[in-house]
Amino acid sequence: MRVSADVPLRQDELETLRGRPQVSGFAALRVHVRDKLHWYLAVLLFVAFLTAWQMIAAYGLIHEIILPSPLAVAKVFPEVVGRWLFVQHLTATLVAIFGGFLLGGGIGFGLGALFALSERWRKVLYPYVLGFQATPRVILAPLMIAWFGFGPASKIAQATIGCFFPIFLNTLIGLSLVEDNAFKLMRSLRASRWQTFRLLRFPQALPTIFAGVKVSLTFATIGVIVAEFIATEYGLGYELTRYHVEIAIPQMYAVIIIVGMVGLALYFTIEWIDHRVVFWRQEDVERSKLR
Amino acid sequence: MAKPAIRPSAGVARDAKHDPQPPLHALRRLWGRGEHVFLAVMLGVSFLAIWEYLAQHAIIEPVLFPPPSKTAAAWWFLVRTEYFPRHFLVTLYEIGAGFALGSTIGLLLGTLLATVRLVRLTLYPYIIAFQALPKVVLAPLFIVWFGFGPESKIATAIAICFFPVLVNTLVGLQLVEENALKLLRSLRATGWQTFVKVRLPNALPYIFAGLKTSLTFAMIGAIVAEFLTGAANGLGRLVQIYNLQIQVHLALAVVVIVSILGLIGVVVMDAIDRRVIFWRDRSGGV
Repeated sequence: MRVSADVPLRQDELETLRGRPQVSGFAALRVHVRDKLHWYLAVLLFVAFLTAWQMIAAYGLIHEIILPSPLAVAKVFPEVVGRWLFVQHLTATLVAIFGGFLLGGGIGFGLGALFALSERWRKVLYPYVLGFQATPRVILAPLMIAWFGFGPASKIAQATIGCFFPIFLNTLIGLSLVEDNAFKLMRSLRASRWQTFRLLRFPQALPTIFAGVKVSLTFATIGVIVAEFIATEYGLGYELTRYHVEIAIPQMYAVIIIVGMVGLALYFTIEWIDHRVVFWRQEDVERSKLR
Repeated sequence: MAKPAIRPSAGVARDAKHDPQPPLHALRRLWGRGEHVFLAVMLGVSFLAIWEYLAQHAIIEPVLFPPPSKTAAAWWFLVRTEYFPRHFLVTLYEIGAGFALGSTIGLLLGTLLATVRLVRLTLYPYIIAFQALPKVVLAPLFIVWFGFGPESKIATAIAICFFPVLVNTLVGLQLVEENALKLLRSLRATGWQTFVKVRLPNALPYIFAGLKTSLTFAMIGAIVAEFLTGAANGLGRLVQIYNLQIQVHLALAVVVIVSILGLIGVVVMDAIDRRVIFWRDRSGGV
C-alpha cells in the first residue's frame, strides 16, 4: 500500500480500502470464481499433468526407462534423500554455490565500483567486457578441474567466474548512470566524493546491482552443477551423473526435483532479500501492469 | 578584435578554418580520441606478456598455464587438423538449431501468454518455477531421451534458451504506455492493429535483449550436453579430451575458438538489432 497521499490510488487499492461491494449467494460465487479461476486451473493443470504422466507410464506407451511413472519416482524418493551421504552431497553443492557467489560477487562489486569511477577506464575495459560476456563460461569447466583439482575448489572457481560478471557489469552500469540534477544538487551542497557515493550513487545503483545478484546466483548454480557433472566426489550434479551411468532413471528424476527445489529456495531467498534491501523499487507498478 | 575569453570545450566542434591552434593540438586531440583504444590494447598485451614471462620462467606451472605463444601455436595447429571441422560444425549445428527452435518457441509462447490473460495467470506459477530451476540439470535426462547424437544437445540448448525470449516477449508486449493504448482506443483501432502498431514495436527492444541472452544460453546448453556424452563430437567434448590428455594449450585454443564464436554471435545480433530497432536511444550505458 502506498503511503504518499498525492499519488492517486489504483482501482484495486480503492476497493481494498472501501471494502468490496457486498454481494451474496450465487453472485458472490461468481465473483470468487472469476478472481480465483487461474489458481484452480493451475492446480488442475498440475493434477492433470501428473495423471497423464502416470497413465502413459502405466500403459507402457513410453518405455519406463525413458519415462518412469510419477509413483515410481515417489517410491525411490526416500531412498535417494534418506541417506547421510545425500546430506553431504547437498551441503557440498550449497557450500560451493555460496562460496562462488560470495567470492565472485565480491570481486565483481569491487571491480565494478572501481571502474565506475573513471570514464576512461570504462572505455578501456569495454572490449574485454564484451568478449567475456560473449564467451559461455562453462567451456572453462574442464580447465578449472585441471587447475584446481577434484575438490570443492574447482567448483567454487567455476561458480566464481560464472557469477563475477553479471554483478561486475550491473555495478558498473548502476554506478555510472546517475541523474544529472541529483549530481548537481550534491555538488551544490559541497558533498565530498565519498558522500556522493554513499548517499547518491550507491543507493541509486542498488536496484541494478540486485538485478545482477539475482542473475549471478543462477550462474553460480549452473557453474557448480556443471563442474560436478565433469568431475568431483560430492554434490548433486555428481549424484545425477552417477544415477545416469547406473541407468537408475527414477532416481535421476528425484535428484532433478531436488535440484529444482534448491533452485526455488535460492530464488525466493534472493527475492525476499531484494525486497528488504531495495524496498523502494517500482516493481509493484510493473507487476500490476502485467496482469 | 578581442579574443573570446571562453575556450570551446573539447566536445564542441570548431571551425577548422579559423582554428588558431597549431597542428600539434589536432594530433593531441586525435590521440585523445584513440586513447582508450590504445590503453585497451596495451592492457591486453601487457597481460599476455606477463603471463608469457611467468610461464617461460616456470614461475607458474607451464603445463597447466601454458604461455600464450604456445596457445597461439596450438590454435594454428588445431584449425588445420582434419578432425577439427567435424567437431566445429557439429557444435555450430547444435547451437544454431537449438537457438532457432528455442527462440521460436519462446516468441510464440510469450505472445500467447501476453495476449490471453487466463493462460498467463494460470501458467504464472509454473513460469516462476521453471525460471528458478537450473536448467542444465536436465541435460542428463535429455541424453536418456534423445541419445548421444546432436539431438540431445539441441534439446538441452532449447530448454535453456527459450526462456529469456519468452519472458522478454511477455514483458515487452505487456509494458506498454497507457497513453498509447488510450490513443489507439480513441482511434477505434482493432486488437490486431494495436498489436502491430504499439505492442510489437514496444516489445522489440526487449525481444532482442532476450535473443542475445538466449544465444549465449544456447551455447551453454550445447556445450554442457557435450560434456556429458563420452562418444560424441563437438567443441565441448574436444576441450574435455585435451584436458584429460593434459594438453591445456590445446584446450585453451578451443576455448579461444568458442569465444570467437560467441563474439561473432553477439556482433551479428547487435547488427540485426540496430537495423530492426533503428529508433532506440543509444546514449548512455557502457
